Amino acid sequence: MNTKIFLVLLVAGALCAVQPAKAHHAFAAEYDLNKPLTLNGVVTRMEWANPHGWIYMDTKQPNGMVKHWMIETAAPSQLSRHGLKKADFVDGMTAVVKGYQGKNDPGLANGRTLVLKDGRSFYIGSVGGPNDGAEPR
Amino acid sequence: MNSVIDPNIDVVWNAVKTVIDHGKPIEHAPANDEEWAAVRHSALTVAEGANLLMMPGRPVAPPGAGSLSPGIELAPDQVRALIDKSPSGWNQFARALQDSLQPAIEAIDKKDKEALFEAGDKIDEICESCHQVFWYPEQGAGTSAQAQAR
Repeated sequence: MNTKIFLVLLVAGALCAVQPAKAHHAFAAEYDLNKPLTLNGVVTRMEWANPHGWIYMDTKQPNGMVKHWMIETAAPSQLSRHGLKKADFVDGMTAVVKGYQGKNDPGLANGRTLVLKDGRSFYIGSVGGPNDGAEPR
Repeated sequence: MNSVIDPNIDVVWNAVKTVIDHGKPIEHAPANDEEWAAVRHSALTVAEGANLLMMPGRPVAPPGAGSLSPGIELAPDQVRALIDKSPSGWNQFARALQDSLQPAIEAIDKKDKEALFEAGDKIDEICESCHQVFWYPEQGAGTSAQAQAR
């Protein structure tokens, strides 16, 4: 493979890696309900977008390597309804996200709750998600 | 749905958003007449696509297409059977989709990015509501985690 083609594929791959999935699917089609997770890390980016928001988080693995996560959230209108604001996403913020791992992408997750460093907790689950007790009563 | 509605509604949804990168908010919106026109084209395509959805007996997917997630999302023939069982319910969702595009088109004509963002949220509600009835009825809101995991 010549260098030019390799670079084109590399750039295309990088673009795919940061492009959130947009199509609607059933929750269980994309996320594994047998793989609940808790992510504790640094939020680097938030996409306040329809039809879902996306939180990008870096977590440190036991071997010291950083793992990049893309975490799907509810639509921004739902996030606002639960008190979360764009202004909450400040530089260098740490947070804890509970949710479920993606079925086909080890760096993909669906968030259910977001807890900020100051202790505030927000429900960020998508419509159609599981009834697992995370949702507000 | 995959060829007409989905790619075009993504254009409408992606037209306006905020990306907060390391605490720095970057607002995304159409920057000129050409970009607004492209979003309008997609919004109109979805609105007119709703008419195709309402055509009696029209296949919901190309021949031979199966479920994208067997056991979770229905196959096209199963979706078709549900539609045939409740054509009025299906048409109601299709009309709701069409109607939900009107505020988006009005927002685009006014180049009102906030209104377009709000319209996008309403469109998503219609999409999800219909999907829970006709595409993944067993996976609707309120299903227990255990039941969904089966």
